[in-house]
Amino acid sequence: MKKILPIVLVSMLVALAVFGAGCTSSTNSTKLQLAGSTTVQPHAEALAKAFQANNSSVQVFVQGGGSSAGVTAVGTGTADIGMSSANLSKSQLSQYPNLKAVPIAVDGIAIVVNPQNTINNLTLSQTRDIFTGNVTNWKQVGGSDAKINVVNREEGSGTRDGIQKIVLKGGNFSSGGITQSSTGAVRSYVAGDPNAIGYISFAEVDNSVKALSIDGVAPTYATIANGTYPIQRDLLFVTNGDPSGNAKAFIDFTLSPAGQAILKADKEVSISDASAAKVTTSAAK
Amino acid sequence: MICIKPSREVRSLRRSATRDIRERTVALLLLLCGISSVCAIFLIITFIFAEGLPFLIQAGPSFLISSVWRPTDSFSAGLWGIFPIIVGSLIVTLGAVAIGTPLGVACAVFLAEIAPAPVRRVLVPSVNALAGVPSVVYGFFGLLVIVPWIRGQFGGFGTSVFAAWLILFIMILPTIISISTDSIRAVPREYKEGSLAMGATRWQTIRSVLVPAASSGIIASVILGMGRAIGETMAVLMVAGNSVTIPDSIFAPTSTLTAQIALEMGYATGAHREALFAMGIVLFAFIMILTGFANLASRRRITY
Amino acid sequence: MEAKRRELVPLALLWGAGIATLVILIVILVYILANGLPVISWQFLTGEPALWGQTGGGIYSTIVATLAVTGISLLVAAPLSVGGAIYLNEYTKETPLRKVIRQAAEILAGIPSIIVGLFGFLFFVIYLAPITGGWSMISGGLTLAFMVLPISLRTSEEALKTVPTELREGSLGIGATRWQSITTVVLPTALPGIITGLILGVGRAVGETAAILLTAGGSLNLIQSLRDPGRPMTLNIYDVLTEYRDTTTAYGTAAVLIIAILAITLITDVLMNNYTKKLKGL
Repeated sequence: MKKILPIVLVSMLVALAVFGAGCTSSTNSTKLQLAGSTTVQPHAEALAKAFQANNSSVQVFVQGGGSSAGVTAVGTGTADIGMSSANLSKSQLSQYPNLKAVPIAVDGIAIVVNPQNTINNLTLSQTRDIFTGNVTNWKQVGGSDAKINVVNREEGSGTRDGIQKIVLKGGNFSSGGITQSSTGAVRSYVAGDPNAIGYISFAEVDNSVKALSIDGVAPTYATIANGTYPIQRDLLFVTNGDPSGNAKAFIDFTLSPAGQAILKADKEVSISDASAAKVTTSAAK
Repeated sequence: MICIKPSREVRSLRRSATRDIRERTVALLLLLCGISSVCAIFLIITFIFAEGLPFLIQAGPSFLISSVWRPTDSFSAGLWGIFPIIVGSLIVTLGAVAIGTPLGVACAVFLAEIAPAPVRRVLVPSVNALAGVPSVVYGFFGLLVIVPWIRGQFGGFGTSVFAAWLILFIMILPTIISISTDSIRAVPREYKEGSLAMGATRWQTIRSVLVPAASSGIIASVILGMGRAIGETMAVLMVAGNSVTIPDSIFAPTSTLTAQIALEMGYATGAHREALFAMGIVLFAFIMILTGFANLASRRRITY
Repeated sequence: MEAKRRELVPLALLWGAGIATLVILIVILVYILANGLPVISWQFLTGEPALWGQTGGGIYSTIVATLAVTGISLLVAAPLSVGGAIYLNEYTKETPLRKVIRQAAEILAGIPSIIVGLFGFLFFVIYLAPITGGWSMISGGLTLAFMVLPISLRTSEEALKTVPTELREGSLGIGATRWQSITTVVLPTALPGIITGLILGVGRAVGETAAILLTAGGSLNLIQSLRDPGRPMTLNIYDVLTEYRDTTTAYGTAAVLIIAILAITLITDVLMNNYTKKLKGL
């Protein structure tokens, strides 16, 4: 009896090894690896599923990690396509000079508070003051007398980068806030804390949180498309060099009407809608 | 149980030279297996120090003393101060140990001296089960139960030093309990019997004879628990709030070395990544110091 | 007489400590299992995971990923730890080398998982990328092996120590070589203890998250080969909970994990009890 047990264990391990070795038939040409922004990730997964339905030989893996991680992964070759919710920075381009970015959608960043919060609107400068720590109590912006609990994203987040550029105009976040490592985490925190304020992709806003109007403009598909909602950025697919092979096929699919429809259904503004709306607004001026 | 195989005996006596070579080869292979732990440590230390030490040297003492943490991927553009993170690690660890030690030692005394056998049969596997629960499940429990409770009762973010204390002390309980129980059990029976024979009660015996006699083992267990607490990552990441500030109250958020590394490692590049490895070196140093103390404490233990 | 009465308070406190510890365990287990057990169904265990941001879906790919990394870590750590334990216990006297190896194992056991993960990231994901495929099951499994090794080394050595010297001496006395004695006498006797140690190591590997976070990738797709990235159950709990608060899946995964680990703990305890009883019977 005692002699059987080790034999059983060893054969199980051998079986696992054989399974592993035998399955290494998947070569790189059938594996497409995406990595990066957690804002883009849900949409990429939806796109991947639709893409794989028509291209059954390709397996698309989607991984998070944040915009910077995605760009680095693509630069070092660990990923085929990087997902970024921030434009490529100078240092990223100097480190990996061959990076090419393709905008796939326009995303609005919503400033969210708990539904119990009485505030519905903030000016851009009030928002800046809150996140830089100049304003620390809700009553200073017309709310109740309570300390503002600021929730930030982590440093590598493209969403955080967008807020820093557009709202803080390059200034620094105060150190008094807590950090959550994804859009979903920020949303659930804000949903649970009546005094919290945070920033998430507009596409991820649901009934658990309230999106504020900024300078009187509420974030909607239309206001993001025509540019009147100020806090917005392009979502990018990044490749090392011009896209080719499966990466090109996937990006082409994303930019096709079918792909853009998937993004639109997810409340991301499609590229064509955005440019069309902006032309109308500028023409109307 | 001993299988006598005379035919193999006779055969092997004839081919003693090959048998010698076989024995020596086997011995060598086993030696290599043994050395694998040494190799493992060597590899880990080499790689971590290679990546982090240059940064540590370049950043100098301000790395440990400054309170401003603003990483970027270029060394000169960033500000590298991890003092609040070190403070966070220390506060979180010391608090967890302060709560866990009395409860753990008391439970160990209970298990070793007071508990009747059926109670022990339930409690010992329970302590082992506590030890087996994955850290992420503890963090899960902390995030969904303890953090909202703290926010409701005490205000603030909820994710706080206090939340970390509550979760961590539970995680180090099994370490303290099992090693302390063994230490108390290892005290020679004569000590206890002598004390009882002189008329001391059970509690007086425990308090004045058994616990002092087992003290070096108990201290070693506490220090090992401390090492576990300072090295814990996932649970702290989920309940401490990750704010690079020195907490001004126990209900304020903070960050620890482990959680900060886990949080930022995914996307850190260039100097930022090296800084995280430098933080790893600092953490490693703290733990080496702690286990050094544990070894000293247990060596002073009187071997029976 | 007076002292006996004064004794009631401390004794009550000690009982309280024991009960408190038990209560803590029960509260945590009940909380997870009560919320998680209803989620578990055959479909949950074998279904594909839901898309990002949607709830529901199964955890089949995470179970496979857990098995893969655990299997790989065991494949590497088992021979090294058992071999090392045999060497320490059977082949050497108290030489400095033995002390060095033991000390190294102690230190290795104390290294925090995040640091082992950092090392695994540098060594397996980046340095050995052509072999391991970067973030992959192999990288995760090999990293985990570093954490399983010291545990099984320690327990294997303990198991070998409990084999009575008379058995070894008897075997050597009738002319068997050292290796023959080990394989025919010592190992079979110590085997239950060794296997218990390996199972304990498995428990550790199954529950590990931080090291996996940095080395295994995180993709939810079902792995086609060991060089693919994957998401073991522990990582799934963390991701699912912090990314989109899908508490249902998180509870379910946690419940599966806890049941698995409780089973491992129980088997280990039973095995150890049988083993010590058999030894006493000798």
